[in-house]
Amino acid sequence: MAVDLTVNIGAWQLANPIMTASGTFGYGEEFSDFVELDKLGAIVVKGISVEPRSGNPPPRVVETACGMLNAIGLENKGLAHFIDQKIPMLAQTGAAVVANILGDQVADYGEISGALDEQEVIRAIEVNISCPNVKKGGVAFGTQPAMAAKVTRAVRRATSKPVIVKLSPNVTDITEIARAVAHEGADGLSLINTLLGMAIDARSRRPKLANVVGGLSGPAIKPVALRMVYQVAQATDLPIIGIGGISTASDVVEFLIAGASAVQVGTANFINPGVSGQLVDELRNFLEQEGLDSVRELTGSLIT
Amino acid sequence: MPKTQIIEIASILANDEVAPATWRMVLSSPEIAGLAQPGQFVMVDLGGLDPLLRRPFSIHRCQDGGSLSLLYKVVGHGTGQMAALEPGRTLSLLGPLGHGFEIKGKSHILVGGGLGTAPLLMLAETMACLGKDQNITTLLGGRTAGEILVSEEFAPFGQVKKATDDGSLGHHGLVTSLLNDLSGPDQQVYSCGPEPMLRAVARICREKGWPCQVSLESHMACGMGACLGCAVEHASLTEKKYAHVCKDGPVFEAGAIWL
Repeated sequence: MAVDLTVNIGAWQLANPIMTASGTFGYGEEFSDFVELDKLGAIVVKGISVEPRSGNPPPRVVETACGMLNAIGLENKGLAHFIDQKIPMLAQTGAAVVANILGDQVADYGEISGALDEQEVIRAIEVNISCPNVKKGGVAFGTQPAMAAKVTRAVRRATSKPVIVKLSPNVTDITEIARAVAHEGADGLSLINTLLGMAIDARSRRPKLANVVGGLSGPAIKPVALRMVYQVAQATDLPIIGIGGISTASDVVEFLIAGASAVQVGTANFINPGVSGQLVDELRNFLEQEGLDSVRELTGSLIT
Repeated sequence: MPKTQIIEIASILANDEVAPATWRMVLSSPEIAGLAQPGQFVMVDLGGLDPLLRRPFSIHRCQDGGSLSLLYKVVGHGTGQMAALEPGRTLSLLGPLGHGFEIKGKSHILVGGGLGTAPLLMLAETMACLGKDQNITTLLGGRTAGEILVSEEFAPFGQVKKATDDGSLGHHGLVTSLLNDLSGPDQQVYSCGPEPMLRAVARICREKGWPCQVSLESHMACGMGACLGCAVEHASLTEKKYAHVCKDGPVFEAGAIWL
């Protein structure tokens, strides 16, 4: 019998738990030479704001030990461009698409979710309240439980689609935020976004990023991400999408064991643009080797 | 649709020091070499956690039989690891990537500074293949003689002039003064090197009314337009707008970047 890779987030059933993380996979089309997009559980597109954003000045990325810092600043062409140019292209691919949305004010989140509600190709909304690289909005909504709740409520009211809230690790107690958004009707949680970090050039004494600080991603953050997924899984009943330094099938399984129902692959897409598709096959092999019938058996199966 | 970019596991055919701390690696990469245009680049994966990300290298030369060469300087531990690789070892290449040089007209001036010479050799070879009527002048500059790279390999294509800051080889001064001394109608200028040099080249070309293409470098994570890390400000008086070196470039019309 073939192993069952399907997982659920609210009423939405994904073909498998492998997704791509927002901001690391463009709009999918950039990767179509390397991955069959409809083979993935879902692709999460680059964050969408109401109006276009030009992003931060360069340099925007720098490598650090086993990871990278970025301060892109949510560069994107805005909601109208996404609907006019990207949605028709995405519909052609047959991929399950999650729209990652962001805003400067609560109303922006409601506006974007409302505008996307009738778009069939969009299977779920991922609410970005955790970008560390912009001055207002973004992480401000993600670090205060009351603000996180307010944004979630606005999205919940504006859309009939599953609502996933992407959580920031740059907080004292991530479970507090998780509970606040769960209470407002979120269908799932994705975590973690990048960890706020910094790199300095010793000779010039200058920061390596023009924005001075940026978000750390890659294998360096995996232990932190696993810990937070584990903590949030203990604190809420919502399905969790684990993110942070995933590049192998073992990484995927570890996040599932910690309590995740699905995962997102991020920085690894930059190194191997075909990795997400390969992980679907490798996860299936792992389950067969372990004699498991369903990937759902792994979720929260940590033995302590 | 045919693939325009691929991952190829390329075997190292040769890897030699051609100038102080500067190496040339020749790889067997028939698929990428078959698609590559002058000015495009590849992302090289050394396969470990340190360095984690691929690194961009402009394509130095593609030859019959599917070989692809990279010219690189050992500046950190990633390039240090590359220099230690023996023939027979393999590397993962992602490419060909980016928007390369557009060959226009018949009178070409190539201006290279230091390692910026790398993509100009493939450009000169490609121009020479267009016919005997191509007029190619190559200007190479560096701080010192050791930074004038592979100059003898440009000789078959036309005149080669050199300049060094310390006077140890060729003209004592900047390569841009060699450019300034040239004249003639309908010249096309193609340049790669440090940004201050490129800006000076662009300024001289603007004064002379010559079209000028410049190849820029940038930190980048993916090389294929997804991370948006390699932003470069677009010339604009009215709004802040960024282009991306990996996809819109690395080769730009100088006027599109600098006013």
